[in-house]
Amino acid sequence: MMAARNSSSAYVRTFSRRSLSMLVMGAASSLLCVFTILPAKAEAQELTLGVVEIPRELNFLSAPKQLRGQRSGELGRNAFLASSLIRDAVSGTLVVLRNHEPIRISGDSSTHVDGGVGQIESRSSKRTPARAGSFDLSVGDSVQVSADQRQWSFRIRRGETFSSGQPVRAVDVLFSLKRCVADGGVQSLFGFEGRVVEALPGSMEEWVDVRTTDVAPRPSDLLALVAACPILEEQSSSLFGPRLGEGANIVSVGAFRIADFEAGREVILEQSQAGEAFAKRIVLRALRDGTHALTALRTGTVDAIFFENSEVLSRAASDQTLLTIECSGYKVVHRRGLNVECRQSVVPTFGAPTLAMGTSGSTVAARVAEAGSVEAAGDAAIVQGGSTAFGSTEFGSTVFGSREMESLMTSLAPAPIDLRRLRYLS
Amino acid sequence: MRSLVFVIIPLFAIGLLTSSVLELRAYLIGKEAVERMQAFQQDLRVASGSRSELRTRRADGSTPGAGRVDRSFARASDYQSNPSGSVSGLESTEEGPRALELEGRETLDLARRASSSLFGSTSTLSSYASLLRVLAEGQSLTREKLAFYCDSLAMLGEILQREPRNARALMQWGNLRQILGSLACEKPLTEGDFKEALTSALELDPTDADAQYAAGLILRWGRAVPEAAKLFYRVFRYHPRLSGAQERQILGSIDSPQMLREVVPARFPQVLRASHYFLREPYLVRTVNVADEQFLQALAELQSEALALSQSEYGRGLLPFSMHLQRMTELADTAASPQVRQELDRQLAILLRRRGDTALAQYLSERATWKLLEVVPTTIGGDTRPLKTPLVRWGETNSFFADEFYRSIGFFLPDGQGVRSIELNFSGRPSGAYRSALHVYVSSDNQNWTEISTGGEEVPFSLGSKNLVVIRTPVRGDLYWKVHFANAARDRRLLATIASNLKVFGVSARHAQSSGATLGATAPGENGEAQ
Repeated sequence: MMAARNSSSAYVRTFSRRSLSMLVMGAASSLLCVFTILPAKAEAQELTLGVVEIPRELNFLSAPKQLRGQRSGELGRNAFLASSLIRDAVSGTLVVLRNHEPIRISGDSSTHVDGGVGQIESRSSKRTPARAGSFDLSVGDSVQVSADQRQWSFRIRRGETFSSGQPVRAVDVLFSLKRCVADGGVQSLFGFEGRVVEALPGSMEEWVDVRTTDVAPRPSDLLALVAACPILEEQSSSLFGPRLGEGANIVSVGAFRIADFEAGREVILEQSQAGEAFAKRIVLRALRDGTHALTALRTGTVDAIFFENSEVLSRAASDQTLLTIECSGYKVVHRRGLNVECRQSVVPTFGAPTLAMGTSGSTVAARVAEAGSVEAAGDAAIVQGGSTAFGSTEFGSTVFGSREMESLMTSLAPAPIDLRRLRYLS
Repeated sequence: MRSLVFVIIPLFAIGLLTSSVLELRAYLIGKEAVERMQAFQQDLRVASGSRSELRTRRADGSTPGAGRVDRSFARASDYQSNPSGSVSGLESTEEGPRALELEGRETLDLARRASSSLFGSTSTLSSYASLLRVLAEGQSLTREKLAFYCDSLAMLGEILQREPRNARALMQWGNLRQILGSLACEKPLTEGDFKEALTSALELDPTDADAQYAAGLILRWGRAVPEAAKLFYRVFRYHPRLSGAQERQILGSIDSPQMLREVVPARFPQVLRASHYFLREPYLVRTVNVADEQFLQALAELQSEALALSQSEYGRGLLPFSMHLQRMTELADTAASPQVRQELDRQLAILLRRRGDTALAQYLSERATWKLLEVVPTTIGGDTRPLKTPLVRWGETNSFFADEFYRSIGFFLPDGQGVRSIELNFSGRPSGAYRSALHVYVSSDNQNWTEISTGGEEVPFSLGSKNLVVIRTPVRGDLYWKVHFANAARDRRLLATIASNLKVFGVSARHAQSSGATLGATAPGENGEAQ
C-alpha cells in the first residue's frame, strides 16, 4: 500500500514536473509565436488599402481626353482615385519631380543640372517669395541641355528594366513621350529623336532628344511633361493598340505590376523586378460600406481606407488606434504606425508670365568648365557629376502652350499618396 | 706572340665574365621588375575595375589577411577611395594612397632601370610598356593620360627597334597609335600610321586568327569599317576556337545591312549564330535597328543562301540527315522574313515526307501557308478559376513548368489576326495526360472567359530536338487566349519560357510595325502581308 502510495506520489510529482515543464514550454512557444507575429506585421509584405470604388475597367493609361471625360462624368472621383493610385504604382517615368511643388522661374534665375538630381530654382533679387522645384533623373541618368535650351537630351540609364525584365531602350522612351504629347494635344511643340552614341570604344549609350519646334519652353513645363509621362515598353504597347492601359494591359518600368484584378472589386499589385518598395504586394479593395470599412481597418484586415463619409470620419477620429489625414483633397484613414506621406499637387501653375531662356554656348561651356565635369562642350554641355550653372537668363514674353500643357498635366495628375513609400514604422 | 696571347685570353675571359655578370644582373633586375610590375598592375586593375567586389568584401566585413591578393585588395581599396593618390605625382595625404604611390614610384624606378639596361630583355620592356598603358587608363586627367600613353608607345617602339618582326608588339603599337589619333608624342619611335602597323603585323603571321581579330577591333575603333569587316569575316569564317565573347564583339560592331553582308559568311553555323544574336536577343543589339526592313532583308538573304548551301551539301551526301534537319529547325526559330520561314516549312515537309513522317509533313505543309502571328504572351500559375482569372504580367520572362498545377499560358491577340494553331514546344516529351488536360479559353474583355472546342486530344510531334504540342483551333480573332492545364498534378517535367515556347500561327491582315525588338512569338516582318 505504502509502496503504491509512494509510487503514486512519485507519479504525481513526475506528472507535475512534466506538466509544469510543458506549461513553461507552451508559454514560451506562445510568446515566441507572438513575438514572431508582431514583427511580421511591422515588416508586412502585403498592404491592403480600401477604396470606395474600383472601376470595372481601369483605363488608367488611355488618352487623357478620354480620361478627363470619365473623370468629370461616369468614372467619378472615387474611381479616378483608384485609377491614379494604380497608374502611379505601375508607371515609372524618365524624370521625377521631387518636391511636388509648382516649378516656376522668375527673377534672376539660375539652373543646375547634374547626373542624379537636377534643380530649377529661383533666386529672386527682389524681396519676393522664391518658389523652387527640383527633379531626380529616374530612367535617365544624365541630361544634356543645348545652349538655347530648345533641346534637352536624356541618357537612358543602363540596367533599367521593364516589369517584364526587358531592358529599357531609347525606342521605348520615344514611343512613350510621343504618345503622351499626342494625347495631350501639344504635338506641334515637341519633336523627339533617339540616338545611339559610342562614347567609348564598344560602349554604346542611348539618348533621347526632346526638341521644341517653335519656341523655347520653360524648363518647368518640359520637365513636368516628362515627369508625367509613363515609360512603356514600345513593342507590347504597339500590339495592345487602342486597348493599351485597359485592365492589366501594360508593361512599364514602375515599381509594381498588376498581379490580379477583379473588375469592380479588387486589384493586386506586386513588386516588379525593377521596383523597390517596402511592400511586396499591395491590395486595393473596394469597400463601399463605410461601417464595414472601419471594422476592417480596426481588425487589421485593411491598413488604410480612403473615405469621405462624415460619419465614418467622425468615428475614426474618436478611435485612438487610427489617424486621419488629408491628401490632395482626399481623406485617408489609416492605422497608427503606417507611414503615409501625403503628396502635394504636381500640376504646375500656368498662365503666369513666361520667359524664354537664352544662354550663349560659350557661357554654358565656360560655366561647365568651371564645374570641372565636362564631357563635351561647345554648343552643349554634358554633365556627369557635380553641378553646372547656366547663366545669362533673359526675359521674354513667349507663351508656351499653357492651355494644352495644363490640360495634359491635369489629366495625368498623380495620386495623393505614393504607394512605394507606404511602410510601417518600426 | 705568345705574350700577346697571354694578354688577350685573360682580357677576353674577364670581358666574358663581366658581360655575363652584367647580363645576370640585368636578368635579375628585369625579373624582379616584371614581377613587381605584374603585381602592381593587378593592384591597379582591382582598384579601377572591381568596385562591386570591393563593396561586397566591405559589406561582408572580411578583413584583408595574409596573401598577395588580400594585400592587393587592401591597397586597391585605398586607391579606390582616393584615386588621386596614384603614381601620377599628385600629392596625397592619406596613408593608403601614399603607400600605393610609393610602391608605384619604386616599381616604375625599377622598371626604368631594368628597361634602360643594355642587357634588358624585351619581356621586361614589354611589361614596362604594358604597365604604362594600365597607368594611362587609370588616369582621370587628360594630360597625364596622354603622357603615359606616349611613354608606352615609345617603349613599344624600342621593342620594335630590337625585334622588328615582333607581331604582338607591332599590334600593340598600332592600337596605341590609333587611340592617340592625330596627337603627336614628343618621343622617338612614336610616329606612324596605325593601319600600316596592323597590316605589317598581320603579314608576319597571316594565319594567326587572334591577331586578325585584334586588328579588326582596332580598325573598327579607328572607324576603318571596310578593313575591319574584311578581317572580321575571316575570323568569323575560319577561327577554330572563336569564343562567345569574341563573337558577340564582332556581331556587336555591325552597324548596317551592308556590314552584315560583309562580316557574316552565308553558311551554317555562322548564319545561325548571327540570327540568334540579332533576333533572339535584340535588346543586346545597340548599334543597329534590328527591325529595320533593309537589315532584316540582308539577314534573310544570308539565311536563304546558307539554307541553299546546306541543301546542296545534303543532296550531294556531304551532310548527314540529322545535321541538316537540326540546322533547318533551328533556323526556323529565327527566320528573318516570312518567306524564309515558309520556305523552311516547305523544305522540312518534303524532307520529312521522304523519311515517312507524313503527319508532321502534312502539318508543316499547312503551316507554310500561315503567318506567325504577333501576340503579347504571358503565363499564370495556379489558375484554378480559368473562367474568371484575367491574364496579367504581360511579357513574363521567367521560366516555369507547363505541367504544374493549373498552369495557364496565354496571349493577347492584336486586331486583324485569326488563330489557326497554337504551338507549345518543349525539350522534354509531353505525356498523354498532359496533352489531354489542355483546354483553350477565349475572352473579349480578359474578365469573362469561354472554353472553345479544339477537336480532341492535342497532336504531339517531334521535330529535331523539340517536341511540339499542336493545338488546332477554328479560325477566331478573340482578343485574349488561354491554354489551360486543367490538372492539379505537379509533374514539373516541361520547363518553358513564354518567349521561346509559345508560337501562334494563323491568318493576318495587319501591317508591319517598326520596332526595336521582338517580343515573344513575334516574328520580325512576318506580319506584313495579307494572307
